[in-house]
Amino acid sequence: MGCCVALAYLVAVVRRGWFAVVPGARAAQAAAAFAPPARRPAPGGVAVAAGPPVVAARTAPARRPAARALVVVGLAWFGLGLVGMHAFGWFGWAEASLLSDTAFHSSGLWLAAAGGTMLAVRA
Amino acid sequence: MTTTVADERVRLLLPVPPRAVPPTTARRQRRAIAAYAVLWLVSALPGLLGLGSGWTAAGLGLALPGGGLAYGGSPLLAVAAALAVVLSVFVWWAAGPTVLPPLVWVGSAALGGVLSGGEDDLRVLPWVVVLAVGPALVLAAVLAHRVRHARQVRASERINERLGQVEFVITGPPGLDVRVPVAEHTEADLAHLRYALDLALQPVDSFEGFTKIDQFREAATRYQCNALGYSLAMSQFTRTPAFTGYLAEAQRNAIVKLLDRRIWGYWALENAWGNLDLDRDPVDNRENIMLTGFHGLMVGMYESLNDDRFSRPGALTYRWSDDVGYSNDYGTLAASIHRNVQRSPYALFPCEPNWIYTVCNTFGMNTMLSHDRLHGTGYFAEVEDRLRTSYETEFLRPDGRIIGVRSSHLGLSWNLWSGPAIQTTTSFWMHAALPDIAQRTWWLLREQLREQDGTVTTRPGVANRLDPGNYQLGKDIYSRVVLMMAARELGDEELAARVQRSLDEGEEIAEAAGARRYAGASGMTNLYANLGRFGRHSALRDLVRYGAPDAWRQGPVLAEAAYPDVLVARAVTDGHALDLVLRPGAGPVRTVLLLDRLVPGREYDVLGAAEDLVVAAPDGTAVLEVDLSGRHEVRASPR
Repeated sequence: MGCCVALAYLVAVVRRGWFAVVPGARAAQAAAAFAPPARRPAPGGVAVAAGPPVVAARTAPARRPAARALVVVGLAWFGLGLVGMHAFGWFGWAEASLLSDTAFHSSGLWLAAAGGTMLAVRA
Repeated sequence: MTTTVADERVRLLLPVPPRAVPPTTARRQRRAIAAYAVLWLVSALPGLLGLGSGWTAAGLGLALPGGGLAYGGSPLLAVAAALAVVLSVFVWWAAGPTVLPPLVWVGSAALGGVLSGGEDDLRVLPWVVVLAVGPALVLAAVLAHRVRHARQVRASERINERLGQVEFVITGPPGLDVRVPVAEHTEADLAHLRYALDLALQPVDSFEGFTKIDQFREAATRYQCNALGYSLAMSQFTRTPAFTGYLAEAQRNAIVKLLDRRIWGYWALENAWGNLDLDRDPVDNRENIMLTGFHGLMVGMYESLNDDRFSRPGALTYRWSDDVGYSNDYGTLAASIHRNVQRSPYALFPCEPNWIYTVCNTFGMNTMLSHDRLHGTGYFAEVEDRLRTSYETEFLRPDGRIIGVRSSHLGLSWNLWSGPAIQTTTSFWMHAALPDIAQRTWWLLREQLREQDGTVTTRPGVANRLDPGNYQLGKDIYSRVVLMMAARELGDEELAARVQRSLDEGEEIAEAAGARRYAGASGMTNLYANLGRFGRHSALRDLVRYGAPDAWRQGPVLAEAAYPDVLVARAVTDGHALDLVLRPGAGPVRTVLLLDRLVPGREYDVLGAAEDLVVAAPDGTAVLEVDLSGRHEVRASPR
């Protein structure tokens, strides 16, 4: 039962987060109800609102602004870390262990890699 | 329940598992535990080698999510890190990014290392405690499974005593006159059908009225298109097999909508972050049965009732861009499923990378079955034994509950995904391919149903109070919809009718322009409600395994009619004559109907139309003029 409550909570939190983060998601869901009434003519008649011929729909490639932003911000953060630590000594972590140094730099690379992956597959 | 001489009576006991963990699952779990053991040893090395507190904490973070943070004196961060890993596993399950949990895990370990710098002396007690937690959790999980398994084995012994007295009726070929009484849509049926028709008859690249939340999980548009196609096909099969017209066009549109990149493009992302593979091909891969199986069944149903256009090469081209498309057809979908079953150690294969769902694999079986019947292949027969064995061992608890999902990599399953909604759905979709297991599952489930407020429902539980079509918690409408589907398919008409009545009378109804839906349910749930509403005993099984009788495929049909002016409540042929029941959908009207597949040049007596006699044109067509102001019967029979 505890697991069920935990799952319910998790689903509810993720659902709420999704609607908060994704632009238009809530509006789209609220609007999901009926399609516009369809019409088909009698044989030999003229279509009032006929659908197009059965062909595969084609869509324009998405711009993926979030993915581009991830790449730019990630690389900028990575570059800032390199310059700041090694050229100007802005951060004390430049004197820390290799582990912390790597973790600090990698955060930017991870962001850039995530954005790059999204761009690479262009979905 | 009607039985015929072609029906078969069988008994099916629950199998007695020789071990607590089935063989393939055991191999995967041993591999996972071995990998964790190596990780655990590596994580202990910094402490043993005295590399300092930073490295020691980082190591402990690998042994246990948040372990390094706990060691470094940050208990709140430790809890947050552990929760982050749990959440990452949830996202992994939800959308397939296999890389996410390792990244979060390693990231939290690195954070632990960073925040623990300073001291060089090993603090032995916390180090030992943190290292011990992981193995202790694994051991506890193994023990809990053993205890639960033993309890389920005892339950299975009691169940088998009763199952030994139960005979399940496996329905055979229905024939033209037996168990295929073509029913007539009521006015309420037609209103619900119009909801689906309006969705499907809009332009194919338009998705107005569909729920739009995400393209990964159950609310994804593809599942709504699937349910749309299935419900329309079922309507044609049980009510209007001799009507093609806009009903067939609506099914085609639902099928073609899945070729839109916005609908199937999720796979490119899932394959990238789940398999680290940038190949976008949605069919030629080892997974994604949630597309191939579901889409294949839509085509199988359509082709069983209409034509074979989607079996032509390239008819199902998943278009990525103007330059890139993945050319497929019904045959390549079925072949892909067959190939993946053969090379999967579980026989069943994954939807999202790594995650194997039992219900999704029933769609794969149904695709193979219908393709075998229509095209003479032998896909299902070749893999049936392996699939049956896997369903009965790797994906069955000793107490007879089907395990809904299992991780292919780790061999783990979520116990939550063994609830009644999963059992109901799986028993429905499995009825065509493995009818005895489907009926046993239903028999077990039937005993757990509850009477509540004059209706029948499943026992309370999160999974039973979730509408998967919009992730809304708190309502059991989806559970009742799938209950109606399964009850009707498995021959429990009395129960199905009670559930349908509870939906019609207890749920808020929304209406627009003659179309009707349940206001409190998602689009997908409404479409599955239509599937259940239009079903009958063994309808899915008959359609998938046996198809339409020859008379239906060769006799005359109503090929064109205006929509919504002409609503077709019943259309059937005996191979020679055509019987129609029509209703006006937009007020009284004089309109024309186009009949097809008549015998060219032959005279037909007509009842219910302006003409008493028509002569079929050389192309087998004829036009009738009818006045519609209410329920109206039309009959055309050869003179």
